Formats: sequence, structure tokens, C-alpha cells
Amino acid sequence: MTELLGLQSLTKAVREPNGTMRPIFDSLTFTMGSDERSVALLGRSGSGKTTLLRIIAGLDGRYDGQYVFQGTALAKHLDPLADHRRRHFGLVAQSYDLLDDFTVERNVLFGARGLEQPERRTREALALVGLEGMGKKPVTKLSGGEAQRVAIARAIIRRPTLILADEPTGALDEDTEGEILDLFTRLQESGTSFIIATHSPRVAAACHRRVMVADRRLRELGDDRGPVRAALPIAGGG
Amino acid sequence: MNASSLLRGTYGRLVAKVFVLAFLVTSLYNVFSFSRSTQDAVSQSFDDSAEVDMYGLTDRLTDPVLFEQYRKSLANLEKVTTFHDSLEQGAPAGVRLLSAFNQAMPVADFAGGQAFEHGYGTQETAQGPYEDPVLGKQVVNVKSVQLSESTFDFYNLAGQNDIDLDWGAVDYDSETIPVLLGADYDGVYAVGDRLTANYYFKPTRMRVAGFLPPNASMFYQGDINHFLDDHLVVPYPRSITGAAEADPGFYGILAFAMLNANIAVDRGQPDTVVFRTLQSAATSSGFDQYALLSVPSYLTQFASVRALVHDNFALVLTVECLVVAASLVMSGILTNSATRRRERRIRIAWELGQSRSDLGRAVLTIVAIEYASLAVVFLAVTHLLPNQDSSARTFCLTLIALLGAADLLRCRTQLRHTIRHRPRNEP
Repeated sequence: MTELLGLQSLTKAVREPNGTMRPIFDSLTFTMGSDERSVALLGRSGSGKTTLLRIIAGLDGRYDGQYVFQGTALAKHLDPLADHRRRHFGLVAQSYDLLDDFTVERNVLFGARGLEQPERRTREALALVGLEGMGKKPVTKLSGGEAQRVAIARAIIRRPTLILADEPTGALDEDTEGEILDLFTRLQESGTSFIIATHSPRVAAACHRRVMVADRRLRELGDDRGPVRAALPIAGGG
Repeated sequence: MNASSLLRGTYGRLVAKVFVLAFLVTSLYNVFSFSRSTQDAVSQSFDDSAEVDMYGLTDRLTDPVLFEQYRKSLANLEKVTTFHDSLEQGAPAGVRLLSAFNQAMPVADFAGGQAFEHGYGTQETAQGPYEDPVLGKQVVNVKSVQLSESTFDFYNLAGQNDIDLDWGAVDYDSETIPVLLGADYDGVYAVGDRLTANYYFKPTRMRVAGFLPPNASMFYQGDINHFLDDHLVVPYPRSITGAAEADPGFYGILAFAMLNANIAVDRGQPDTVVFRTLQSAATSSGFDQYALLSVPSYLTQFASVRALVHDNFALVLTVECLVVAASLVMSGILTNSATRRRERRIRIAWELGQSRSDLGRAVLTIVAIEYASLAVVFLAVTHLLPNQDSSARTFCLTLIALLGAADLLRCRTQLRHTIRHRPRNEP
């Protein structure tokens, strides 16, 4: 199996409001193979799931350790990381991160900067997430599930290698969560990989592999070859 | 993401901010301009050295018959002219004779309009053109003031474009007297033009030596700002001793006109200096038919005007401070509101992989649009104002540039913060 990404000896601390440094990760190691389609990232609130996703996304370069993507060690400067993020990653957040005064179409186009035929790609992305014909609709008129689909369409418009989703179903009801999981499954079948930070047992169960952030490291919980461990933590964002 | 994406949804706030700041900068322009024009006005007419005790000088020959008898005597005229010159040239330091008289001047073939005519704009009735028996021509009595070099200097009068009177060339026995015209005469006469006037029944040629600047004024007979814009300014000669012999009729009037004067005594001089000076001149000339009048209204009005200006300036400054504070608060609120909206957009663009330099360019473009618009609005508004002041304008444009630079610095700091921190509870 070739490695898609690897984090080696990742150590990071954050400054608390009182000025003290709180360690988040201590020699954390994580690898994801090119053929792995989805990894669920679990953990208690504040354990560092979002921080880990931000490091993987290249939004945070302040850590010790090495980050290797497709065999290449990444620099920690934000500008090359932004370029790397644009070429390889799509981001999906619990809060959708849509622009309220834009239509559905313009929100997706917002992620298409520099692409050829952005309008055609936008239509394709919207069709892929099941929102064809809704391009002119203001995003303020969308339901939560529709809004998350717009965010996913925007994330996939550049055909990224990996989508990093932070609590993508955290604000959705069960039925809508199921629809989003179905969408994720379809995208995985077309070759896109996912790392999903979640508290949802259902989302975790839908992933091929599950890891938990605990005690400043990652602990494997299981994969398709083994059962998901019981007692998944349920709480707010972390 | 480009600047238009970033601006979207914040156009109203941008326009409001531009107008609030334009209001602020324009008000500063007005205060700066007012401050300068006030200082100029004060220094033009009443600088600190003008804080003097002022006395009025006149003759006591109030009876017309006595006056006629007195001035028909050449010996008496010699006394008067000597008395005048003693005061004009022999007064001790700190004592100045300020001769000035606003006798209307009949000018032949006058090229100006009615506004220049003596009595126009006052309760007196303008006479209009009439046949002058001395000149044998149609004349108009134009507004005029005759004054001495000391008076001219005391009120800081000066010609435009560094063209001043050559007081040494003022010779009433020569063919032509150089004169200055008020600023309103610009376009009516030009430098070098010649006028023919009936000056105390003596046909006199006058050459236009220059023009006074607009709003030139002097203190005259209780009028704190006697404006000279529409006046013909005729200089008195420096000396008239011995001149009466050649033309007793003319000098018999002129000498008494020149005694119609104020005596300015610098503060700090002994109270008796003016009396001793007059006594000395009377002794040396033999003329003692003079009377001294104090002119307290001059000082009262002068002090009042200065106080008014200063009090109002303090008031204006206070109001301006409030305007600055209110404008900055409003501008801050608008900036904050627009920044919050743009911040979310910048963060999303950053997370989608847009480079910091692209985002920085978009921010720079917005700041440039804001402050260029501000400069344009400011220039357009001040262009319409009556007070044109290039120094104030330069000051305000520099201020706009500094505000823009400060705003840009703030925006770039905000940009750095936005791409490094994600608010945990953002919707």
C-alpha cells in the first residue's frame, strides 16, 4: 500500500488564555494509505480533532514533527501549504461556511478560482451532490442538508484527492445525515478519500477506519477488518 | 477571490464610511482654513504691535469763517505744515502720526461702475456723473482715502504681487502722483493707467502704480475694518513744509486734511508722551490750534474683535474635537462591521487555498478604493466651498493618506489574524 499522507512524531502545544502552554499532541503518528477511502477521527471535545484536521489541511504550520504527503515532506510555511491545499484538499465544516449573500452557484464558483470552465464544473458538482437546477437559489433559503451539499459541491469542484470534513453532520437530523453519508459513499466510489472528524457513531461506522485522539496521540479503534469499539465519545466539537 | 467579491455586501458601509470620513476631513479643512485666515486677518490689520493707545488729532478752527481767514495766511500755513512735519518726522520712538482722510475724489472720464462712487452702499446718496468746473469734464466722485506712509505701514497695507508705492516718488509738484487702487478695480484699470482728478480744486494726474490685495482694510473713524477694495488710495507726501508758498489754495486745504489724524502711542510709553510730543511740535511750529481726542472705542473694538475671534476659535476647536470623535467612532463602527463580514469571506477563501498575496492584494484594493473615493469626495466638496486654501487642502490630503496607511496596516494585521485563527463558535 502506498502512503497518501503521514504524520510523524507530531508534537504541538497551544497557549492558554492564562499564558501557560497546553500540549495537544505528543509524538503523534498517523498514516493513511492511498487506497483508504475514509477514516473517522474520533475523540472527546477539546482532544484536538479539529487541530489535527487543520494541520493536515495546511492551515496550521506551527508544530514539531514531519508531515509527508504522497511521499513529499511538506514545508510549514503557510503560502506553499495554501497552494498544496488548493490542489489536493477539499474542506467541509459543520457550519457549512457558505457566503450568505451569494447564490448556490456563486458559492460553488467561489471555490473554482483558476479552474477552466468553472461554470460547467459548477453544474457538474451540483449535479453530483443532487442539487441540479438549484444554482440560482440563495443559500439562505436552503435547508441544513442542502447547505451542506453546497459546501460539499464547493469542496469537490477541484476534484481533490482528500476531503477533510469537520463534523459534517453535526447540525443535521438523522435522515439528512443518512443522505450526506450516502453522498460521501458515492464520492468515495469515484476515488475521493475522506478524513472525517465526528462524534456520530453512525458516521464513524460508515467509515472504513476509525482512529481516536486520546492522551495526545492517535489510537486505532478498528477498521473494516475489525469491529468498532463500543462507547464512542459523544460531545461537542473538538 | 478578488476585491469585488470581498466588497460584495459591504458597499453601503463603504460609501457611509467614505462620507463620514469626508465630513471629518472637510471639517478639519474648514477649521484649518479658518484658523489661517483669522491669523492672516489679524496680522494684516492688527498685529501685536498695533496694541496701542490711540488719540485723535484735529484742529480747533471749527468756525468756517475763522478757518478761511486762518488758511489764507501763508504764514499760518507754514505753521500748520511745520507742525505736521514735526509730528510726522520728529516724533519720539513709539509715537506715530497716522494721517488718513476719506475725501471723495472727482475723477474725469471714470471707467468704473456705480459701486465705486462715493456714497454708494451707504446712507449717503451717490451724486452720479457731473460736469466739473475745474477739469471741464464729466467726473464721478469716487471713494478715496488719502493717507501717509506711516498709516500705510501701520495697517500693514501692501500692493499685490510685491508692487508697492514708491513713497519717495510722491511729489505733489510733479506732473503725476502714483496711486494704488483697491482690489475691485482689477479689470477696470491696469497698472500704468492714468487718471485725471480734481484734488482739492487742483487738476491732478494720477498713475496707477498697483492694486491692494482683496479685503485690505484699515481702522478709520471707529470702523474697525474700513475695507479699501473699492477705494482710490492717494498717498500723502512725506513732507509739506515749505510747499504752501507755491500753491497756498491747495496746501491750505491739504495741510488741514493731513492734520486729520490719529496718534498711535505704543503701550508702555509714559502717559504724558503724547502731550509732550504735541507741545514740542507746537513750540517749534507756532501752531497751537489743535485738539486731542482720545479714541477709546478703537481699543475697545479691537479687543472685542480679538476676543470674539479667539473665543469663537476655542468654540470651533471644541466642536471640531467632538466632530472628530464622533466621526472616528462612526467610522470605527462601520469599519468593524465591514471587516467582520469580509473576515469570514477571507477565511473561507483562505481555507479554499487562496494565497495570502492574493488576499493581501484584494484588501489593498479595497483600502485604495475607500481612500481614493474619500480624496475625490473631499476635493469635490472643498472645490465648492468659498474658502480655498491650498495649504489646508494639502494638510487634509496628507491626513487622508496617513489614515489610508493606518487602515491598510490594520487590515493586514487583521488578515494575518484571520488566516491563523478560526473562531470556534462561528456559525
